[in-house]
Amino acid sequence: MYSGLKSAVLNFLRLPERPPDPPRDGYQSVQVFRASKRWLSYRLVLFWLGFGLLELFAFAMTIGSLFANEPIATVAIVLSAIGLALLFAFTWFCVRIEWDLRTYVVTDRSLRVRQGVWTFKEMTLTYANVQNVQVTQGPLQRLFGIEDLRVDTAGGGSSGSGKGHESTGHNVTLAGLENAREVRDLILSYVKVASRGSGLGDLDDVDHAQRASSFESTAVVDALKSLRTTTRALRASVERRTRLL
Amino acid sequence: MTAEQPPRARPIDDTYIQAITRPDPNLLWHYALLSLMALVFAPIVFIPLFFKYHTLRYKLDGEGVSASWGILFRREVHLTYKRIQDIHVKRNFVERWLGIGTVEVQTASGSSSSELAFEGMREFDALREFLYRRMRGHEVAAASSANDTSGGGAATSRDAEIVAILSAIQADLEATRRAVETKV
Repeated sequence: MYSGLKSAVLNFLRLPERPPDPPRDGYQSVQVFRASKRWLSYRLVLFWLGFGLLELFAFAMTIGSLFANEPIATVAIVLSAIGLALLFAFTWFCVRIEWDLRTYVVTDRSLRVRQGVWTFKEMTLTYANVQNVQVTQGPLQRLFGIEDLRVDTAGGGSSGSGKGHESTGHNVTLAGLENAREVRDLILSYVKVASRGSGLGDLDDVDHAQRASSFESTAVVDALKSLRTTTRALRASVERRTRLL
Repeated sequence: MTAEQPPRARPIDDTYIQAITRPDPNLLWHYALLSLMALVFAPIVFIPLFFKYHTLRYKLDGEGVSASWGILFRREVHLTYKRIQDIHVKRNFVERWLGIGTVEVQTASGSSSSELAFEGMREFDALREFLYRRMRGHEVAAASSANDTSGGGAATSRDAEIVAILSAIQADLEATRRAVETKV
């Protein structure tokens, strides 16, 4: 039942049903990660925790009027119960469809994150631009055993700390992962390869790295060793000659 | 206001993307619907957007991209491909119905909002691929796997040069030693 409703809604909202393609750049490996199923419950709990206070207040009011023996109270209770049930179903559906769309594509060249129902977003970045990778977990997320993985690129002004699962400006968030640490290690291994150049400069810096490493080659070391042998012999012979004089 | 693709005269390749100078006409509808959200203030919101649409020009050349718009307050943004860090494709509900999308380009600047946004793009997917192939880090990723196998020819020739110089020094010193030893 859900899948039928889902494709109808996706069609109405003009959202794609297919998962996102990675950038066509001749990547060697591609892994697709998704938020955990437990992330659904986490978000629902988060929503009802926020909503609960308000609801409790309304419920107390109706109970209060029930004790005051007003006939309208019964109607109010029934209506609010129906309203609550509808709201619960609607919230579940919204969270679920958001979860369905949320996809993280990790190739060995780039990272692409898809998210958003109302405003559909797909973010792409290359590993050369990754500045740091963070794994965060709140107390409630700990209870559900999920973690957020945030990948930052250079640049400020992002209000990423405000809403945990929203990717903004200069970062992308892989929210609700069960294996955040594994994904982090995977991304870091790609970042290590890609960041042979220095931080934000031009990427021709790769050439410098190669030049520096060439001094370690054995031919240079051998030549330097024979030079050292000669200079040692020269020093010894000069010393012997000055001692004789 | 049509969401259907118009019959295409040319295939979507790099020259097709580079020929983009104007947003899709549906962007004006997007702006109109956007400003309706301001209710009574809709005309006030719509007027600058109307002029933005009519003055909006994009340019994609060999080095970078630029966009310009505005009549009273003119704005021009230029950036080179090599400074692009993230590429975001954003499509809200209205844009999806109109068949257009926004391609946002981020550089390492201080603000979280995008530095350049290609609004009203019908070929947003192709444009994203076009920008991706030129952005910072794409070539390095492509080159690094090639370098690992070949080893780099430039490095070995530099080595040979160093070895030759050092050998010459060694020969000179050897001769000096012989001269010093035989003189006495």
